[in-house]
Amino acid sequence: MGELLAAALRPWEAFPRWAAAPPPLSVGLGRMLRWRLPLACVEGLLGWWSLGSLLKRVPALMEPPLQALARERGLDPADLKALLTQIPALPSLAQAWPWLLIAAPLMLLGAWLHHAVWDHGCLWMLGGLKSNRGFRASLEAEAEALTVGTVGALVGLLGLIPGVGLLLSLPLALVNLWFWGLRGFALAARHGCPAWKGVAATGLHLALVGCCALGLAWLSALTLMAALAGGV
Amino acid sequence: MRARRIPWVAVAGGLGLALGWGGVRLHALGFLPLPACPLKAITGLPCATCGLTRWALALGAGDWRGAIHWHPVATLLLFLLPVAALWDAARAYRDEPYPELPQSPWARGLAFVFLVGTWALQAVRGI
Repeated sequence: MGELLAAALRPWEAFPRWAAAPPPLSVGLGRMLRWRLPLACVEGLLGWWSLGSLLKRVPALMEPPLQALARERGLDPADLKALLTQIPALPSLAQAWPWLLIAAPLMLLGAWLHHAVWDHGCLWMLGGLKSNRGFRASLEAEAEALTVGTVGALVGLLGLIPGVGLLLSLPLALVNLWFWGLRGFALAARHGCPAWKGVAATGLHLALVGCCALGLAWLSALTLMAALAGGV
Repeated sequence: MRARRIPWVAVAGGLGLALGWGGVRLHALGFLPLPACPLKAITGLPCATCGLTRWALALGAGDWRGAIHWHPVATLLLFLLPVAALWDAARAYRDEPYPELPQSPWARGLAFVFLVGTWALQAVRGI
């Protein structure tokens, strides 16, 4: 864990050192699964519990920000309220836990592949793949970065605690942003390009596919402000 | 004997189609309620993936005209998928690696324009 923490704090030193004698992809992937899979299961279970708790409070919590939004944008508040009514009822944790445990490895491997494909493509668009080390190098880099990301995921668990999570959403967003960009150092080390190109590739990835997250982040910020104003 | 490489494009394409088909069936049976896009509802602007759900539902109903309307680029890619999957499977069978991506700035710029253009196309049409 100490090694992961050191890499999380000084990725520009750790990733080039690891890239000098890279382990085979299977070893890197196995290490990632050993560190991240138990955490992904905990994230799934805690996230479900947290989501259930949040959904019970959503109508009351969202009333002030939705009204403010409707006023600001000249929308009908009823239309925005209708969004909330579309949220499906959440099955209980007792019903959901087997499915969450099945979904955890699929989500983890899906995130690994998704990051590898998009980061590889974005690094290519920025001219960072000129050493021709191929997609495998990106897969290895993402496995390494996700292993180091265990530190961020552990901190992120705080965000899943009902009540506390909402208050910590802004600092945790900064932690998320750090670990998002950290993948760029791993990519740059494996592809032998300048670190800024790797980090810029993760930024371009965020810009190209992250607009949904941006909308949700805006909504979360408004909710947080309303919650703080109401003394929740 | 060394194992042949995995045809990732063919495998991912097949899995994507299977998951998409399963999702559409579950939605039709009422097991998968799909809420509207929050970004679109709040800002009026579509997100990068706006139109894909309606595209998949139109395809599930056999409505090709609707599918082309909701996401023309996804429809084009769907037509190209079998070609890409066969190409990938054939190369994997011959144990040939994936070709390197072209390094010309034009090719890289074109890819960027394609991605942003797809999003702009959906936004301009108000999807």
